[in-house]
Amino acid sequence: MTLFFGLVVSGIAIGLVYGLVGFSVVFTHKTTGIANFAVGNIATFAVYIVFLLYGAHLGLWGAIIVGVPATMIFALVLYVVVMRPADDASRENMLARTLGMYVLLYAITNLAMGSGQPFNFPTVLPGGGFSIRGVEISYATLTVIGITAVLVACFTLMFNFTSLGLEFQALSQNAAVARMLGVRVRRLSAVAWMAVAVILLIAGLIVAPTFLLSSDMMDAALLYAFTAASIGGITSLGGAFVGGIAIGVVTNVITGYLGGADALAIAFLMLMAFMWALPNGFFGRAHIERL
Amino acid sequence: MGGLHSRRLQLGRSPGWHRRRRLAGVLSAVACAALAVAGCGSSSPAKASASSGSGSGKKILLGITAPRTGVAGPVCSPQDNATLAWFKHVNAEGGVDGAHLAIDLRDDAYEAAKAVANAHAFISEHVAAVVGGCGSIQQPAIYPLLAKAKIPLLFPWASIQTMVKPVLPYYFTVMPLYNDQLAEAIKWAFGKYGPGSAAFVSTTIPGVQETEAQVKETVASGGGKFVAGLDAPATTADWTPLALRLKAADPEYVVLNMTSPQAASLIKAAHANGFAPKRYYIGTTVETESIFFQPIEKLLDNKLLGVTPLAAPGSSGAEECTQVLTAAKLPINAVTLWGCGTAQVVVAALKAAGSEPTGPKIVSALDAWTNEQASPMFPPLTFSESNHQGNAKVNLVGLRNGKLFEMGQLETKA
Repeated sequence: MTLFFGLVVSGIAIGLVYGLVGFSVVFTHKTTGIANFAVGNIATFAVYIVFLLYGAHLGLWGAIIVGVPATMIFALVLYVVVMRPADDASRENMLARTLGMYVLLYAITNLAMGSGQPFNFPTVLPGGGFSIRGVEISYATLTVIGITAVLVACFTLMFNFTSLGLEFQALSQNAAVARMLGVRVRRLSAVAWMAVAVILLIAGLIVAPTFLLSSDMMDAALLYAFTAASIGGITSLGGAFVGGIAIGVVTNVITGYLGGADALAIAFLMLMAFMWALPNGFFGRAHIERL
Repeated sequence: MGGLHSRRLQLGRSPGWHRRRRLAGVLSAVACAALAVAGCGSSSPAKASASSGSGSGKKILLGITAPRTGVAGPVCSPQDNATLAWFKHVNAEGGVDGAHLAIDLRDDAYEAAKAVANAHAFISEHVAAVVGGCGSIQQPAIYPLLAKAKIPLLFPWASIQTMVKPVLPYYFTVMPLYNDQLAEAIKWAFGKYGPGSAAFVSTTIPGVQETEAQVKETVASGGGKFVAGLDAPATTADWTPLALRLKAADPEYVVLNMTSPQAASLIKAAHANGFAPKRYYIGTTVETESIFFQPIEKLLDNKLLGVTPLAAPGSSGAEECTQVLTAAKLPINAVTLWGCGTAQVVVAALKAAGSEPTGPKIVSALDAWTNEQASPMFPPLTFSESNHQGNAKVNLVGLRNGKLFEMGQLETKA
């Protein structure tokens, strides 16, 4: 049973990371109506920014402090250059742009910063931990749980109790009406992209020490993150974490007992089953239109 | 957002607004085209990238299909860069018997399907040979096509038992099989440090079951105990479950048959969960790559035994390659030295095939090699119609203070 509980605990830890990336997918979807396929590579690029700053002898926390605004500027540039031109294009057009961004960011990261990768990346999380009946529980896992709890609380409060949150909701539900009501849609979209980039930077900083920093660092996590977001309900911020934990625990237990080859297949079987049984996921809401 | 925007009212717009919208549309299309080009760029061929620029006279066209992107891209691309650097050096020195080498380098992203598409392109271009390459997934997929077109597949970084035994007429390798490497390294370790319990961890590649079976048998016949056999795809996000399985089995030796970033991730996960083998991690040539051991050097705690057919960096055998790689501003490590060393063997094979080398001529020339010193990076190579694995001698290396050092020499089953 020690192995089983160890797999469950590690599944929760990695599931929270899937949840963080899934959270950014949901947040972008809630605020702009687009599922952003580039989230994984935005996270990787943001971590590379911090890594370059770290290499410039700023120290880890110095690099992060400078890296956060640098990441926001990077996200703003992405929005302005890729998403904002002809932003009245169809949803499919915008989705295709995020796919293009995924490929382009990978290529840029590989060419500009990839020589010699993967890189060892210092951890921002506390070391050590404790053991309960042979199951290692690290302070790092507890810290990630804390970070995600704070993020969910902050964003839930923001969405429900601030004018900014109301504007975001208006934007996601009907941008045209929101615009007529005085919401500055483009500025708000830019803010959403910057916020998402910071969340992704956090996710990237958590996984980089374990996954090792490379241009494809988030590729495997991206598939699980989209699955997590879908299982949680693509409109539910907290649901992304529930979905992430479900995926993390199930895949880890399967990998531990049956081998890794079955894990991805099982994850997508879960997704299919959920899409059939709960089309809106655990916490998603059905979209109802008046005819 | 886009779809919703399209429904907005467009009343009271000035004529200039419409012009700006059209301009934005054109710019957007250009940006999208640029994105598409950038996206495809990674898989497009880098034709004649080893050309010295003379452009006239005879030419020998070679194909390389290798991961430039994808899960193995970061590990493998330095190998091709090194191969190209050596070919460029050869061209600068006058080429191969006056013929300049032209290289069609195509990205396969460590995917069999893309490698097959690349092979079709090489066949239509009538390349003399497909050389280099990196990974054990792509070679079995492209070999039948190349063999049918009588194009030899030469010296990839790969270990595929089914491509060596029985002999495939158009496939040649200088890499002793990983399973043989591991078996000899286990025997050496048991002899030196005593038999013990051992676990086997592998990325899911062709032949993994055979490799595990051979490791299991070697451990048992050496007086040890095989306690776990684990594998997972290279695309696995989190290696913690396998690390926990290792911890539960608590082996004294961990035998690795993994791609290097994934092996590093596994060892990181094992360390994070409080596990390290009491004796050694035993790996193949892959684990002698600096890309594997440098990020986790401290975690390995000098407990690494690896196997390499290459001359060690800094040795006299590596001198020529080191000079060329340094001039090309490439790092000196196992991957780049392999890329350079195999390029040297390719050039020797082309020379041996005579003027205007074709696939069958190259095969005949290689089949006649007996103790041929084709490259100072490798021991003398011997091929014949019944043996296309030209090299059985390997060095066993250890890791101390971040540097590999020679611990012994092994002879694998050729």
